[in-house]
Amino acid sequence: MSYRRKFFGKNKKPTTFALNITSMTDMFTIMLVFLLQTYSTSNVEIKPVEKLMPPSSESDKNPIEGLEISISKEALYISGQKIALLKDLQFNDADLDKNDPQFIPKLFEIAHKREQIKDFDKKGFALLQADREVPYETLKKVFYTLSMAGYPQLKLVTALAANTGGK
Amino acid sequence: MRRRFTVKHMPHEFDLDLAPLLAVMVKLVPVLLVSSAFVQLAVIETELPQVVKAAAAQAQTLNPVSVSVHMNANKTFEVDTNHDQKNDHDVVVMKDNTWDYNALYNKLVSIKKTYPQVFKLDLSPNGKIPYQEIVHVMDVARASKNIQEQFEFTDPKTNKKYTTPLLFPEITFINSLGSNI
Repeated sequence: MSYRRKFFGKNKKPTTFALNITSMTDMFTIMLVFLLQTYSTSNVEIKPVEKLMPPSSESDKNPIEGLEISISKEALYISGQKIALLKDLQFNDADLDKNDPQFIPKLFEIAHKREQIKDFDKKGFALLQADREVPYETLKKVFYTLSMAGYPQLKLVTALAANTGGK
Repeated sequence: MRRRFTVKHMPHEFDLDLAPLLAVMVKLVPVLLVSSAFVQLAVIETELPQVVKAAAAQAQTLNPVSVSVHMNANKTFEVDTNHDQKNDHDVVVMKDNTWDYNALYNKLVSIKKTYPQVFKLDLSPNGKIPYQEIVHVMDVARASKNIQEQFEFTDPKTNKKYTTPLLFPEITFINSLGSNI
């Protein structure tokens, strides 16, 4: 037997091989079940604001379309647009009306304009997304201004208590 | 020629081709990842006081009963019930240095049993109260904790009796229109 045949003839490996994808399929099945559980059926998409932790609630009503107001620990937003800053969870005096410290002129201006344009806003729905630590005196100023702007129906956005472990 | 009887041996084990199934899953996973809500949001409905609306509602009500809850900075609740110019005032003190939500719930249940036609509650939190505590009170006041505990009321239009687990689902922030209200 020649040297060449001895070393190269016997070690012929197949060029194709069968990949075992059973374990990968198992993993994808588990992922699919998890993702189907967290699939959102709500037709309204609420964009979360940075550093905003909504309060937990037992309410399970789906959000509806309306004017989106967000109050984080740092600022007040209307439809994602920052309109006022907060310092120590309080509005700056510059953002409040001089004669009526409960009134936020910029919020009124934008909300009132939207109320006249948009169809869904005419129903007077406002979706309020606020951080759980914001005190009532800050919220009250927003409530007061929204009420003046023609939004008597307020929907408070909360996180499901089951998702947050009841915290 | 006699044909020889032979038994064909079928294989008992075979390899299932999982490749198409995997292909479907690979396509489904990104779609579901995009539309998944990892924090599920819900809403609580509330109304802000509108002077005209409130007046109209008061005029329509034949037998006005008002239930109000005040949240104080010292973690106590004051529960007021007004009926026929008679005012019942109760204070729910704090327990273990925190809000006593169970005592508030029991108080609201007893009010509901006395006035089953009332579904509206006026909430007036102190300015220092964090939003989370307000939402917690709204949860307590909205519905019965025990699904078997139902409250019977009569529909004024049809005079039919109904039962509901709801306590006071219509919550209004009564002091939102000014600092003194």
